[in-house]
Amino acid sequence: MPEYKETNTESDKLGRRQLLRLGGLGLGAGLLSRAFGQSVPQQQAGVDRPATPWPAEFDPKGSAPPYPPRERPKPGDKIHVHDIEVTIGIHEIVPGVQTHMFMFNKSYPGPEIRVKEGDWVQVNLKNTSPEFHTIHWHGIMLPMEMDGVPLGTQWPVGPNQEFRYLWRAQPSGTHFYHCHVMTTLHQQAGLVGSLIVEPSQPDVVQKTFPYKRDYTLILSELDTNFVRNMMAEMVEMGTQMEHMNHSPSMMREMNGRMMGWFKTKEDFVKAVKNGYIPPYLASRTGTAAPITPNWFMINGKSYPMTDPVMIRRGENIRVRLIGGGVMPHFIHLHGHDFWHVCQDGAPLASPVRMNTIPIYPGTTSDIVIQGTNPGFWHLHDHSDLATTNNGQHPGGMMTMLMYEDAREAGIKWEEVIAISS
Amino acid sequence: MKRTFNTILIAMAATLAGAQTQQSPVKEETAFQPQIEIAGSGVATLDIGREGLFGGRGLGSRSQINFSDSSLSFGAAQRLYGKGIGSFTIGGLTTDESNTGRGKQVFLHQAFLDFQDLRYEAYLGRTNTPSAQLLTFPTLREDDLVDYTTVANPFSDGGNAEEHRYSNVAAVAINSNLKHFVNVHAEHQIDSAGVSDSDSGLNSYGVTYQYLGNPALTSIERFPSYGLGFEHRAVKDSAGGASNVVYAGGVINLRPSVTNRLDLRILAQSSFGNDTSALATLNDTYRADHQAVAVSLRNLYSPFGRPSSQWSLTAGYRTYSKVTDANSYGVALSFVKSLGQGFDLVSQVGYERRSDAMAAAFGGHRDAAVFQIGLVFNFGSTFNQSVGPRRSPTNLLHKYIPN
Repeated sequence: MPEYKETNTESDKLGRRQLLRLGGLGLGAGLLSRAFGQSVPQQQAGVDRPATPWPAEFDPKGSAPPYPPRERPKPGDKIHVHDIEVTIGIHEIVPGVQTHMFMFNKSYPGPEIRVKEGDWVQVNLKNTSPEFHTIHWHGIMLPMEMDGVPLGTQWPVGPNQEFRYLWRAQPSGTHFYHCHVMTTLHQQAGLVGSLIVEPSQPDVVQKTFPYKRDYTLILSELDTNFVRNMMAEMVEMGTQMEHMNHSPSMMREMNGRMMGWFKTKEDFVKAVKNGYIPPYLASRTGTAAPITPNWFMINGKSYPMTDPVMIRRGENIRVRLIGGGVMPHFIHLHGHDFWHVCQDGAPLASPVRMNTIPIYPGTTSDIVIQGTNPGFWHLHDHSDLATTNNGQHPGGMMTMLMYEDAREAGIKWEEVIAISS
Repeated sequence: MKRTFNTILIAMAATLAGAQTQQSPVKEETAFQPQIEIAGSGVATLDIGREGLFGGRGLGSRSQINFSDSSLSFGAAQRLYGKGIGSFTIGGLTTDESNTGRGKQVFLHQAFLDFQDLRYEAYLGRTNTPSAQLLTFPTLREDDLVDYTTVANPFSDGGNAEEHRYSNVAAVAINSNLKHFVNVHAEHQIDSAGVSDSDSGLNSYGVTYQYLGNPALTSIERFPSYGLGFEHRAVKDSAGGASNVVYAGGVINLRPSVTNRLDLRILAQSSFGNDTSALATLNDTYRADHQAVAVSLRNLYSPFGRPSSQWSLTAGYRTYSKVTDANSYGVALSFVKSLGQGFDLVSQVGYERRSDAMAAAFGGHRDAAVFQIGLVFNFGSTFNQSVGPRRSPTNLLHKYIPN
C-alpha cells in the first residue's frame, strides 16, 4: 500500500526500535525475529529492510529435502521397521482420572521413533479400533502418498485394516507423528508420538553444547467431555459400519445414504437438497459446547504425575518440546536461562537465550539447559490456565528440573521441604 | 406458625455460616459443581373426535387443545469417591384435562435418588414403574392405548393415566456386561382407588429381566431389546384379592437399517389371582384378571443417519378371563415429521372399541375416535458435564469408566 510505504521513513524506524527496547511486546517480537531469523525479514522485505544483508553462508535452497523424496529403497539400504497398532484403551492422567483414548501400541503418547537421517522407515499400521485412522509424519519430507491425509493422499485405514508407510527420514531434527483423521478428536484423544531424526552429519547442537542426555516433552491438552462424547459417537458409527460390512444390502446403504462423504461439490449440494443435514447445521457429535480443555499434559501426564527432567552441575541437556495439542504454551524455566537451538527440527542461525519459550500447535523447539544453578526448579507453562487439573491449581503442564547432585552442591532438600511444610 | 419456624431456621443457618466464615477463612474443601441436566418435552395437539375417550383419557372434562404429557425434568449427578455415580432427578408432566379430577394439572413423575456403578444400580423414589420400562410404543403420547401398552396399576381409579406408568419404587438392579439386567423391586403403586391391602404402603413386588443391546446397534441387531417380568400386587380381598401379572415383550428389527428401519414391538401380559367378575368402574378394568397384547409396526426413515420421518401402526387387544364378553381393542396410526433437531410435526388417528360389558366402566361409551395434529419439542441440556452415559458404546466395548 503506497500510503504505508510513504510513512516508512528512517525516523519512523528509529521510533519503532525505541519501542522495541521499551515494551514487553516489542521484546517478544524481537526474540521471535531472531528465532525465526530466516523468515521474518523476508516477510517484511517490502516494509522494513534489514539493516545488513543476510550472512554469506545463507543458502536459499536450504529448505529442500536432502534426498529426493520419491526415491525407492535400494538393495542394502537400512530400513527401520516399526509395527504400530491403534486400539482404544484407558489412560490415567493423574490418579483417579481415567479416560478412554485412542492409543498407538497401547500407550499415550505413542512410542518414540528415533532414526538417523537418510535411513528408511517402514511403519506397519494396524488398526484394531472401530474407527478410521492414518498417520501423518509431521515435518518429514516424503512422497505425498505417505503423508497420511485421509481422503487427500490416501484412503483412511479402516477397522481391521493395515497400511504400510515407507519413507526416508529427512530432514533431521525433532518432529512428531499423529493421526490425521478428524484431527481435532484423534490427536487430542491420544494419537500422537515423537519422531526424532538424528543428523547424519555432525550435530551442530552436540558440537556447541556437548550433551549426553536428551528429553522429549510432548505438550498437549484434553477436554475430557469432548473426547468422551466424540469418541462415543465415533465408536457408535464405527461399530455400526463394522456390522454392516457383513450384509451386502447394508453395504450398499453405507455407500451413499449413511455417510456425509461426497466426491464432488455437486454431489454435496444435491445431497443437501435431498435431505442431508450437514454437521454444521445440526450437531451430530453430541457436543453442545466448544472444546474447552480441562487437562494439560506433558507426555500424557499432568502434574504431579509428570516425569522430572534430571540434570547435573556442569551438564548440558537437550530438551525437545513438541506442540502436540491445540493450544499454544509458554514454557518457562525457573532460575535459569536456556538456549533455543532448533525450531521445527532445523538449527537456528544462532542460538537464542531465553527463559520462556512459546510452543505453538504443530511446532517443535529444541532447547539446551545448562546445569548452572543447582537445586529443584519449576519448568512449566506460564499461561497459568494450563497449570491446573480440572481447574485446580497446581497441576497440569508442569514438571521439575532436578539436579541429581544437589546434595553435593550443599542443598539440603530435606530442610527445604521441612521449612516449606 | 410453620412459616415462623422456617424463618428461624433460615436465620440460624445464616448465623452459623457467618460464624464459620469468620473462624475459618480458608475453606477446608473446595466447593464442587455437580453435573446439572435439564430435559423437557413439549407436546401440544389439536384433538378432533367423538367422545374423546381415547387411550388413557378419563371421564373428566375434555379439551380439544391438548397439552398433556409435556414434561420438564431436572437432574444433578456427580462422581462419587469410588467408581460410582450418584444422582437426583425431579420432574413433572402435564396431565390430560380429563384426568384432572383431583384438580392437579401437573403430575410429579420423577423424584428419586440413584446410585450406580458398573455392576449395580439402586434407586429410591418416584419414577417409572419397572414394568413400564420394558418397552415404549411409538404412539403420539406414551399413555395413548395405555390399556394395552402398559401393565396396568390395579390400584388406580382411572383418574390419572400417569398412575400406570409411574410409582414410588425401591429397586436394585444388577447387570452383566451392561447388557443383561435383573431388577428386583418393591413399589407403592398409587392407590387412588383405595384397594391396597398393605399396611406398609408397599403394595407391589416384582422382578424384571431385560436385555439391552449395544446402543450403537439398536437399528441393526435383529433383537435389540427384550425382557419379561412378574409382579405381585396386594389388592385387598374385598376388591377381589391379590393380582399377579406376568408380562413379556421386545423389539424385532424386521428390516435392520440405519437409514430406513422397520421394526416391530410386542408386549403381552396376563394377570391372574383377582376374583373381580364385573366391570363397573375403571379400577375394575385394571385389577380384574385379563390378558392383553399390544403390537406396533414402525418405519423410521433417517437419510444419512438422521431421523427425518416416522410412521407407526399400533394396535392392542384386551380380554377378561372372569368377566363374560368383556374385551376391547384399540388402534393408532401415528406420523412424525422432523422439522428440526428435536422439533417435530406430529399427527395421529386413533380408535378404540369396547364390548358392552366393558363399556359400562367407561360411562357407557363403546367406542372412541380421535384425530390429532400438533407439535412436539424434545430438548435437553447438560451443564458442568462430568458424568458420561453409563451404557455408552465406548463403555460397553472398551471397559467401563464412570466419567
